[in-house]
Amino acid sequence: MNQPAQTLTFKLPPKTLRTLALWTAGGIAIFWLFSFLPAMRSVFSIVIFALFLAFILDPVVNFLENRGISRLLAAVLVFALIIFLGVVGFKFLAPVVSNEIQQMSSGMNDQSAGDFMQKLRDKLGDDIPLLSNPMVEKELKAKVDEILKRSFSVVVNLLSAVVSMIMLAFITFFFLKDGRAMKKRLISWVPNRYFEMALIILHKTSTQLGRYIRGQLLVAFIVGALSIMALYLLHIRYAFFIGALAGMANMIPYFGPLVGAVPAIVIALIDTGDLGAVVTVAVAFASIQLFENVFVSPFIVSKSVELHPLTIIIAILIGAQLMGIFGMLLAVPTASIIKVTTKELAWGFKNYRIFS
Amino acid sequence: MSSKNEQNKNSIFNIHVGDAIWSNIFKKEGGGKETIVAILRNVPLFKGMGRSELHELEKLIHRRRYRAEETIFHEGEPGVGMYIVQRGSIAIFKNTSEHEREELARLQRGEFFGELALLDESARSASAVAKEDAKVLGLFRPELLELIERKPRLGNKLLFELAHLIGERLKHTNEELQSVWSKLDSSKVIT
Repeated sequence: MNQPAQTLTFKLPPKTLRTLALWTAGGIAIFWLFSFLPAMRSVFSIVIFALFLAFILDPVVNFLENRGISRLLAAVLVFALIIFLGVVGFKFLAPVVSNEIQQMSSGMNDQSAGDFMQKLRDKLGDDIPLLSNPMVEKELKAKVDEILKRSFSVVVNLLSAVVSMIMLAFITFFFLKDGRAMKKRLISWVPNRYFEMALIILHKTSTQLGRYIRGQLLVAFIVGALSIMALYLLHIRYAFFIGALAGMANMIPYFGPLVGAVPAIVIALIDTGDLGAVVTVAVAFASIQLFENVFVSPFIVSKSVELHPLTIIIAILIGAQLMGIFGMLLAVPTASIIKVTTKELAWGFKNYRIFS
Repeated sequence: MSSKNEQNKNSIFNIHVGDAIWSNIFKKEGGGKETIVAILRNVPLFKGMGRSELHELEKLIHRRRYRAEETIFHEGEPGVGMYIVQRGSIAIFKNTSEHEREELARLQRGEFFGELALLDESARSASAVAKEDAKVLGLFRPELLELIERKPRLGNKLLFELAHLIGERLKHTNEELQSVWSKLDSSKVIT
């Protein structure tokens, strides 16, 4: 006698089915997003940069609102001020900086990489015998060639950079104007059990990070201004360009000050061929660093975001691997965001007894 | 029921045509629903506020929904801000032992709770639980701090009302304490 085939049927409760469907949909959405990630990278970068800018400019807009101006008008005024300062800065500083860049590049072009190496060897060959080594010379020449080639691609990318700048301005403007409503909407999606915790963590994190980012920028501005002044007084060529670079690079701990000092030292060496000038420039940069570490940073940069030196080095290396110099610049703020968020989450989980 | 409503609507329309026109012109999104401003206006904490100030406060308010028996906040957790009952009822409980709790109050529409958390992060002194499906409006410390920074005049007004409310409660507590003491004294005299 043939037995009818037994069929096993599982009947899942509707709630489990719904949860399963949600997880599957979520998984597909995340996979889909990741598959677009390389293409979306520049968009993400612009949005993240706009968030940073909004963080920096928010107190200024708040200050204007405090004086009785509407949020919209305050945001417009801040942008108008930035454009005005940009135009004025461009008018006064651009000739100086572009002249410096032009001098640097024309110096490179009319001599070519080979001539540049010859000049370097003539000037420094006696002091640094390593430069006369053919292997080292070949390697250095290849590097100089590569830099020259790259400068062409920079020009080609200029148009897309302008478009990105306009996008950045628009997104920052809307973050400034509607940031509060966006934050409120974001919070409204949090389930009731975690709502109060999420609200307070978001507040604490954004307050600390806002203070930290603004502090870092102020320090960078001070270091940049001091470097320009020092290089100008020491009659080092391209003082504005190198000083500004030193200010920006200062945001990268440990490596930054070196990035700022090395070009100045190299130029002092090429121009004078005198090791005394190198020592003077090095002492000037060391003094600026000392001043920044003793008198500026302790009063401006928040201690609560301080990271362990090892964490900083690892973060910078990861940043450099992922996004080059830009990644190095973003590494420490990103590590700080992770640190502050983790710290506040731990505080929230403990105090709101999430796991108990 | 519906016919009665219809009748009410019609009678309102017939008698106060002007009002209906104006209320329709200024009707908010999701017409028919009660606006946050209308609820805030009846809360003692916002009694001194004008229309534009209430609209400004409306932007800071979070709307939350809770199911029956869902906890809004637990006793001992850090406080973040105050809630106003928009719909349903909320019970305030105090733990008396590990497994027992005592209901201190039952709050209805328009009543508020948790306002001390607007001032600092200290632990909640009691728990709040929705006794039926409820809608509440929340005003929280981060938004209040931001308001003080952006609109100090309105922020100060709100803080002043809060101080006034706490002062009134302190006076009331002092009077109760006084009466308990006098009762204790008189019982000592008798014994």
